[in-house]
Amino acid sequence: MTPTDNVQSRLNFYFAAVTCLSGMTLFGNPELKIWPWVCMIFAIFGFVFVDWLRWFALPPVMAYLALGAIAVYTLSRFATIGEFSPEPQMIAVAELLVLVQVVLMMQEKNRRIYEQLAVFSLLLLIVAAIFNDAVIYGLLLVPLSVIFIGALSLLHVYITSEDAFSNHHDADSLIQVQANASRQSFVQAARTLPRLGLMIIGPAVVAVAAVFFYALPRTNQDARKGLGGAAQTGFDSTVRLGQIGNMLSNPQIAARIKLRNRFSGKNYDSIASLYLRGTVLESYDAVNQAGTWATVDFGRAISPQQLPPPPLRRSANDRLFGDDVIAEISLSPMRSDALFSLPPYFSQASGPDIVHVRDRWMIERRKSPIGFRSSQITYRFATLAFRGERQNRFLPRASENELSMLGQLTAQVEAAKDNDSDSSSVPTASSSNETMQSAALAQALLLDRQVATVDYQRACLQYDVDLVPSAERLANQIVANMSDNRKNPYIVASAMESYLSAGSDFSYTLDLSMQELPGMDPIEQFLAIDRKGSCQYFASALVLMLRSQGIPARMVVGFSTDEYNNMGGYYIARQLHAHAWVEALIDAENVPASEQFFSRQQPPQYWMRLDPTPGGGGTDLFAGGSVANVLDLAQDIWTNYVVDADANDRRRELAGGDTNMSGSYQLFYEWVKLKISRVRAGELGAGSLALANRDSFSWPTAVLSGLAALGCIVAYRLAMRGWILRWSKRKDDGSKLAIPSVGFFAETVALLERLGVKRRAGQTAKEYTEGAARSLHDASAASLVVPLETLTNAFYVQRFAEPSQHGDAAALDNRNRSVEQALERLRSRAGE
Amino acid sequence: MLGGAIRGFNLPLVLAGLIVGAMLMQWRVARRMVEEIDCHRRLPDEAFAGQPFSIRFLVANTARWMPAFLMRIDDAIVASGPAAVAVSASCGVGRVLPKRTVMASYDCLVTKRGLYEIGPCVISTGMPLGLMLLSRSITDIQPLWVFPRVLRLRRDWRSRLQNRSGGMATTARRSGAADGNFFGLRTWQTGDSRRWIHWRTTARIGEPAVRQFEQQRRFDLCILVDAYEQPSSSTQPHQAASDAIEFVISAAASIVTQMVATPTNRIALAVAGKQTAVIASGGSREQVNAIMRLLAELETSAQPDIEGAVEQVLRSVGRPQDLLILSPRGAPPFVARLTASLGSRSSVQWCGANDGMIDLLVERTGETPIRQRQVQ
Repeated sequence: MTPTDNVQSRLNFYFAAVTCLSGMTLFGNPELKIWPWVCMIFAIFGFVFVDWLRWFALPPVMAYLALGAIAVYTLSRFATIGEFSPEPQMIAVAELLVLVQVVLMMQEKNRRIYEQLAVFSLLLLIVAAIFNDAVIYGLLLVPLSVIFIGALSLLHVYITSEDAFSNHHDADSLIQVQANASRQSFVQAARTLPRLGLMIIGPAVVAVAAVFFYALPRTNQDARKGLGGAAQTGFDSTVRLGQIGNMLSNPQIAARIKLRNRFSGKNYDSIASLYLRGTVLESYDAVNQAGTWATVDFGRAISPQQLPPPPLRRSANDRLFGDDVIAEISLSPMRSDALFSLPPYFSQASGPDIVHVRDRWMIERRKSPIGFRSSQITYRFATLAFRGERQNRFLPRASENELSMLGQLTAQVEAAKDNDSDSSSVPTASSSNETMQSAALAQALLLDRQVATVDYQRACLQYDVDLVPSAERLANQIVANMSDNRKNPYIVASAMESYLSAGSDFSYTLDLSMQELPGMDPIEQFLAIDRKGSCQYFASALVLMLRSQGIPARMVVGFSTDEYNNMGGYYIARQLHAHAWVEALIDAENVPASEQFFSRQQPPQYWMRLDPTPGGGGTDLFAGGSVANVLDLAQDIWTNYVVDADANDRRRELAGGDTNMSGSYQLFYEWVKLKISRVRAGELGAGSLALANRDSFSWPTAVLSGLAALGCIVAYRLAMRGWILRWSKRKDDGSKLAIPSVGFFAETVALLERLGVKRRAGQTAKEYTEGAARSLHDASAASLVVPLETLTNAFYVQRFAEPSQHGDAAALDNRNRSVEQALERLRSRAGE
Repeated sequence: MLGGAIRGFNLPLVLAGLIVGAMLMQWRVARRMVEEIDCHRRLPDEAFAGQPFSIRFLVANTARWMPAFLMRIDDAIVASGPAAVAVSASCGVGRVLPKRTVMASYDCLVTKRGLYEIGPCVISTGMPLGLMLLSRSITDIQPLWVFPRVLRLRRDWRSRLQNRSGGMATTARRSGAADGNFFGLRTWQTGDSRRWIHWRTTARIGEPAVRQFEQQRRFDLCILVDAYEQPSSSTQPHQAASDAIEFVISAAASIVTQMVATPTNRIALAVAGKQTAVIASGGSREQVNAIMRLLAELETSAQPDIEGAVEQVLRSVGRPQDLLILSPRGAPPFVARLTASLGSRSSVQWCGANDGMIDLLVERTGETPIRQRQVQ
């Protein structure tokens, strides 16, 4: 057994273990069923019968055939998978990798097989990581990493020993080389190498991985656990009182909202604050969990559906119609399904990823089969939420599409009723049957929809007067103060909003340290005692006050922001922009005509946005200036195109189609394309770097120029420093030292320099030669101590002694001879 | 990391971190090791064609605490001349502890004499995972003369030379035990015989000094190698001609090697090929090496200037007692003239490879094993 055989047998074990463990990481996905077992069993089987006992091995030709069969099998699997179903695709890839591993394990091992096993094991690990079963993966990752490091170190020894130190024994060759001793030396080192590799590289790799992980500004569930990421972005279906107050000190960016005109493509700026609508909450839990708002689950009746198509515009200048705006929202990673929107919204292009929740006007993301819940999301929709660069205060209760559908159903039912009553007409039996069936269906649908609407409206009127009596008391008080002819819901709601937001009785505070009184509802406590709180308290109070007067109302949580990034041309919603406001359902006839908007069919009711928080709430902790804009844009690019560019997004892009939620690279491509087209058109954009556009001075240009100049100066200084260092080093090298005036000593110095001993500045001749003798000491060669001493002494005599001390001619002659002999010794050593 | 993974970290990112970390550390560790390694090549004093020799490297780890692992040295061997051949040779050391020096070597077998260039060498390591090789090039190119093959001399080679030239014994007696007239003193050098040490001077100056003798300008034997190569139009195959001249050169090298083993012998070597040259050897290693280098670099010619070479011999070392001409061809007509010009005191012997005369001195097969002398 050669030493390399010993390495190979260990390698076999290591790679069998790697294959086995990498297969085990697939246990996280139950869909894979037997495949992890297949990988494990064949890894063990291959090691025992092929590598160890050497009973058999798959010949290369058979292996190639098997790989071909695997390829066919995988292609057939892919053919049966739908167009957009990432999980089965990943499962098929995992199967492919397992099968390839099996074939490799059945072969006799050589360098190529080992390398392929390593690569396929790594691919299997990546696939398992995408399946994201953290527990099994985390448990297996440690032993797997240890064994992988050992396997790679041994493989390196094996490859080097086999390839580099192999004997070139060609009888005809002019030069034959062999290095058996080197191979032996490598093999000996291999005994401790896996352990040593682990010791040297293990902690460092873990440290780098940890830094790598923590340094990246990720926003997912780890953030909630305080693991260094940012705070949570989305809102769940339940929101506690005070939850938003906690977010208001966090300047982390939660969303970027880009608005542009649907036709011109130019950025669309709103002159007022942007209300980015998130989750709609109808139910106030006053009994079990005091102070918790939740969405009411209506089951199928309110099930998500496709985004409504854009309504037809009557004329381009129709004031009743909103501005045509395309909104593009990039959200930081979040785990909740509810997304943010600017209703009324419409589908920009048919896409499967986001869905619309009727009645609530909420956008949710479609349930993903694999469940990548923590990645960044970007989606687009068309919206009519703006008119005259302001966000509308009123929101139609239902989309026009739905209204027209309801209208059609009603018409159908009415027509059926008319037919029944009109006995004069005698239809044929069959057509009567069909009409009746469709009428019955229409009636059922209509009824279903009406019941859902009534149920929803009822949910928006839930109010327990015993728990929060102050709401009713205050509401009654406000209504009582109003004259009778003005008592319509719109006026009442506005009055209540003003009472809370503009009145002197209530004040806004972020101090959440107020003592909760036992047995008292927090909203009751807010209205009756504290009279100060965050936006959630104001909104909750207003909802309950409205409900006490029979006006359906609901709470909406989202972001309210007016922070705009001029460089990137988008709004920024930070955590501190989180906000809660109220929507009250107002009949259309009560809504001022100037506030209404519709195209063809007037909605019967509108949701009216009411913001009862004094001053609009929020904090002004982060006033983004121009520099902040640049940094934010940089972070945006980093986050979008580096950190959160995950495989899922890329796959989604590859799945193709113009989807509402487009991937980072597509966005990047579009962004670049847009910028290039603008530059080509000579239009550098409003508020951009253009100097000649509007102003003669542009802050971003100034900041960028300043930074560029600073960068140049720093680079120049660094380069200068390098030159200075090199120059001073050259100076220290002694090349500029004065050459000794005495000829033979100059030659001595030259010879010693040739031997690699350079004279330093400030070194005496004696110090120099003694140092040289020490450094050139070589047991096998003649000593240079005596010759150098002779030369140094002669140099001192000639250079510094008085002429009278030089001695007589014979002494001079003797000295010359000894100097010559010493020089000769030095020359022979220097190779002359 | 495990805890993090269990708590639901983004697993692809954790994996990416591990891979990037491994690559980064691989690069850093390997680079550091390569930077801290000092490597010097040591060539053998003598290298003979057909005899394996070792090329060694002193691998020193200058690092204070970090050992170096799996250091690989890739060297280049380039045969100079028209038929330039380059071969790469690799060796390595498994482990070098900090502040220690270990030796790495590879064995080399060169089948053709000549001047070779060794280097530059590249030192590299892929420690610890072999994910990448970090290397440093050391531009240290050294010449290595591969001497001609040394063949086994026939048992009676001395008597055959004596028969024709008057005998080696006579030559030895003429040289006398005193090795010449006393000339002066010099410090001892490697290779000097202990018999020449001048003990009194040694005691006085504190290091060995040896006596120097005035060399007699008479040589026991002068070997002239006729590097004649038939023109390509000849009917004789090129390979056979080449083998014949190589045999002649090897025979010359064998005789020189054998003769200088006895310190009292004095030889001179003249070559007549593309160039003509003469080197006299008093037996010191340097001189013998000079002769061997001459033979190693000897290039053949279709018209070697033998008479010119003889004239050069006369100028350089005086009239030789015996002139042995080794040639791949038979004796040309001018040999008689040459014999006459040298006079009766010198004998000229023409040994041709084709007429079997050289075979009387050396065996064509069977090489004398050469004890390797390495530079320390």
